[in-house]
Amino acid sequence: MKSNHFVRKALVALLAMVASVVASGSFVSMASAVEIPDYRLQVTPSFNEIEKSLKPGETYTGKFKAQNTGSKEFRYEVDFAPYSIVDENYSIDSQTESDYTQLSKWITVDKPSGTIEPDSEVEIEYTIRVPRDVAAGGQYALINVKMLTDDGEQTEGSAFKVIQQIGFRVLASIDGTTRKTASITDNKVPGFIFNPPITVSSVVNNSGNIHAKATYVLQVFPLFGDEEVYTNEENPVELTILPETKRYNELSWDGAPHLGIFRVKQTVKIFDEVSVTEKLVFLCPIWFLFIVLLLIFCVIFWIVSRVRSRRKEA
Amino acid sequence: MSKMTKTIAALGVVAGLGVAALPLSSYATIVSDSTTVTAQAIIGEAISVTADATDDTVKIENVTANQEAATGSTVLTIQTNNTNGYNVTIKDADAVTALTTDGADADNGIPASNTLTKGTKGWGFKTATSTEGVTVSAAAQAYRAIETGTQTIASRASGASVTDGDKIDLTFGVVVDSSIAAGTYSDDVVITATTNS
Repeated sequence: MKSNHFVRKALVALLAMVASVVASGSFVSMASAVEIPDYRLQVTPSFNEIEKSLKPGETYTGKFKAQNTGSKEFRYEVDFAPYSIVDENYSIDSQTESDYTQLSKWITVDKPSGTIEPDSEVEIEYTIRVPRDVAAGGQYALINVKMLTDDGEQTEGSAFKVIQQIGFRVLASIDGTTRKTASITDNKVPGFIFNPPITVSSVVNNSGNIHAKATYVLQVFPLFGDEEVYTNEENPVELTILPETKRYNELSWDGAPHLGIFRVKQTVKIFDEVSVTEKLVFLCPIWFLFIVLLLIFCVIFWIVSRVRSRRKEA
Repeated sequence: MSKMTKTIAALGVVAGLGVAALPLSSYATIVSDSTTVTAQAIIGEAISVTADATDDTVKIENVTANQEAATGSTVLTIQTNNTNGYNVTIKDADAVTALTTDGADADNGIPASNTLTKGTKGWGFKTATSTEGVTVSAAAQAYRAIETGTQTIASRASGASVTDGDKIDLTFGVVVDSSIAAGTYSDDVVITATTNS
């Protein structure tokens, strides 16, 4: 009788254990559930920087995927636009045409429109047919994938249809006599900072006719010693600089303390150009600076008054 | 089946489940000859865009003449693992930037405008964000007129977007005077998200 009771207890304990495991599992899955929007377009990869130079008359093909990661079906359409840059912050202009944006006229795709079901994708193959009489240098274009959803109900008032699209960037270079010239026009390391992070900046000017990668390295050393407290040397920032554009960039050491003196070095490279700026950086909160100045003022005042009183005594 | 057998069977089930529930790392401690296995995942680079507006349409109802700007908004979500960030632009979908109603030409519509003043007619858009690392210029935070060319509304200079995606508020505002006939006025705008190189 007693052993029967024991078996029953063991089985109840087992069931309780299984139930708790199942319950905790479902709780975890509920907590980690991510809300899926109705319509979401994803493009992967988002660009192709064609490594080899394309020859005049050559045909090149590439592909990317347009994915529906939302919960409702949508239609898509593909069109082409020039890709250029308007300012040092690298704001995009997909309207203005130049000698470097003729690529958008040479591209075709195999599936210019269609429908994508939820959780599915369409592989889009694009073909670039380079004309025979084209000049050497960089060529840039956007392949825009537009997401089109069902029309909403119209109501009295005003309505704005927000059409979303992703621009797939194509960066190419045409074979021939290219000009690889660039300069680093600005390489700034601040001398005094009130609050972290330590941020350095630079401007790179690509005066050539072909795009190039600029690399940016930030190294932070203590005041005494050569052991780096921060560096991105093993994984430097690489940015593409389009021809006849300037690009502003900032690098930061986010983990900098609130108080300290460091030797900060920024190295920027493009083609054979190298710019290095190294400076002592004082990191000091403004309240601390105020207290130090007040202390110095008090000491000076005390010394002056002591000197005066001694003179009077004499 | 004897009571003892039942007890052993129950304990066997419990022990079996217990072993099954052991984390894999526990096994490593009892294996004397181990081999290092490197798990490698190649993560593809991608960017996605979505808006929270139903059917991607932002509706502004109760637009009344000679009143302050009536507004409507949507939240754009950008997700990317591109380490160089991205750029988001806006432009009109066609050559007509005015809000127009069916059968009327642009001259009788509500023109795109940088200033939405009570008693006049015009519409504009503005953007905002609270996501760290996303930049919305001061100019983009005030109402701007839509153009046929692209205008940058937000950008991320470096780093991937945050886990749930970078949120960008896009607000439309409309003011009308009594010269605008009652009806539904609309326009299509195109938002383009492009990764940086």
